[in-house]
Amino acid sequence: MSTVADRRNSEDLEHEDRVRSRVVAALSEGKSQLMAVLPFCDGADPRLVAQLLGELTKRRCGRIGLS
Amino acid sequence: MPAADPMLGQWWFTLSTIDSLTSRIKKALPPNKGHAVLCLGTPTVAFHLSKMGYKVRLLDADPDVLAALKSAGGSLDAVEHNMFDGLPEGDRRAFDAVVLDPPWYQDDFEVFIDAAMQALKPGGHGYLSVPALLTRPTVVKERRILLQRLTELGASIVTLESACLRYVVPEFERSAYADLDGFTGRPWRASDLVQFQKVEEGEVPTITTVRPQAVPFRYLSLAV
Repeated sequence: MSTVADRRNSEDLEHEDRVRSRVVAALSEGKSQLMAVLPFCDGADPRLVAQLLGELTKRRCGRIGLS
Repeated sequence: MPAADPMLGQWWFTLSTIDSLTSRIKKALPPNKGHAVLCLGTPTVAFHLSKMGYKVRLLDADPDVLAALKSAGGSLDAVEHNMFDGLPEGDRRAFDAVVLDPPWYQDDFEVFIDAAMQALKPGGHGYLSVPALLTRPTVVKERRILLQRLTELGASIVTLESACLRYVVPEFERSAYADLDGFTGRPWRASDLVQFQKVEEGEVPTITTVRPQAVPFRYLSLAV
């Protein structure tokens, strides 16, 4: 049986995934600054966008061997 | 305008948004033809429309905003009013257009929508801002409920335009994000615009909601 907390958690995770995909789209268009990424994110909280942007940028740099 | 007050859910439209919104109204209803427009919580748009020659009435909860508009002069009929008290009796079926930008809470949306539908003449036009799709996790469901309410009350949805209304970043928001690397305070928040038209008389339910506290994301707990 799923609880309200489970549902909320899953809603939050789905939301985060949707925002992440927008951040990925922004990065693929060469946008890497927060204010340039926000217009891709359909009103998402800048704090969440900044966090995902940081994670994705770090991962990208790791993949191409930058430190 | 006075500084935006988060407790009143105030975010001011950017100048370009005021221009584009009033242009849409001008396209549907030419000015100087005696058209009456009701603005619910949209003082900047009300002021602009009154300067364009519309007969404009503004209902707004903030006395400071009303005082600022009064000092700017003009013919705007601006009245202090809490929308949770319902629509003033004389405003029913009296307007050719209604512009509404409620605080982004479900209870506020419902009372604003009910009032707008009561205020419109049959055939009247409505302009409603709704939060963009990723504003918070529950917003898609919330929007579905709002659009359903509009249609149940006799509105036909004409268009839903994405991210066409933009807001100036208020001081309280700038402070809240001051620690974010790269946050400059340039306008970033946008809402979608729902244009609707009143096509039939709907049954307007009695308002039973109470004014909510300004608690972010509080309707995550609503059973929807």
